[in-house]
Amino acid sequence: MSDPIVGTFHDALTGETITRELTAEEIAALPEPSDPLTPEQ
Amino acid sequence: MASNYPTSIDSFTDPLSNSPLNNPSHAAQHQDVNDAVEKLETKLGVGSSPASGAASGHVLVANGSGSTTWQAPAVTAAQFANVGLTFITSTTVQSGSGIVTVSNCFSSTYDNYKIIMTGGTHSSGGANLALTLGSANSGYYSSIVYYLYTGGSAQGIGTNNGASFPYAGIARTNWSHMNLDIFNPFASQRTTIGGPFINVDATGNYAGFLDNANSYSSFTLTPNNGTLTGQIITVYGYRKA
Repeated sequence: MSDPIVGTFHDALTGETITRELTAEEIAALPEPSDPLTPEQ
Repeated sequence: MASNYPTSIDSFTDPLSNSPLNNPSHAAQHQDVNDAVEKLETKLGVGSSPASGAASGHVLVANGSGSTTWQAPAVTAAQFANVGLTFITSTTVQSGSGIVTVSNCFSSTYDNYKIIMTGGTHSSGGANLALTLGSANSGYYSSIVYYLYTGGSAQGIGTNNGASFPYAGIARTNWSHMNLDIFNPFASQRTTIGGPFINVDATGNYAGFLDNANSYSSFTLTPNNGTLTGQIITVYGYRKA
């Protein structure tokens, strides 16, 4: 089982910043990792 | 007493209705006033334009050689009130974060925004930071054109209907960089983005758009590996008339 993913959540209206674990739905919605910039071959 | 203006404001002795001409000295009173008026004239400068001929908001401008003119300021009050960036919010990424979401930062108050990120650490050496708006997970079109410090030809990577803007910023072991402009995220029209990309091996230019007309009030940054700690993210709005 993989470690839980923690996120920083900041609300600009209240100025409040919290930290919590992501839900399963939030984890499923994460974008696919991008490729690194590759040196010219 | 001689006038001490403009070093300080003078404090004259006013004669009473029954004061004799020698106490306070009538001549000295005239000398004081003459002295003060000459210093005021020197301060204001010469020039024939009267305040009565100046429009509302005009200012007295020095023309050099001791002359002044009432005229419209180079930057009008309306321009001054609507120029530049206005701070909206700032936050520090909490330890070991796999994502960072900033909500309620886009609104009808501004059309366009700038997101700045600096500092902090990355858990495993470095990562690209993907930007998503609201819950949108498709329709992102972007490209990055970059040039390696070691030389060679300019290169590029495109994202065609992707799930994010994948090169919005970077995080390294002990520094990070994001300088991204976001246009019309809250308006019900296409959102466009753009900014410089700076990393340890290359710099480039990154730009793109989100192909829908939805309104967004939040964004999320997701590293393509590892976690973030301590980055400072600040959002500004471009002031508008």
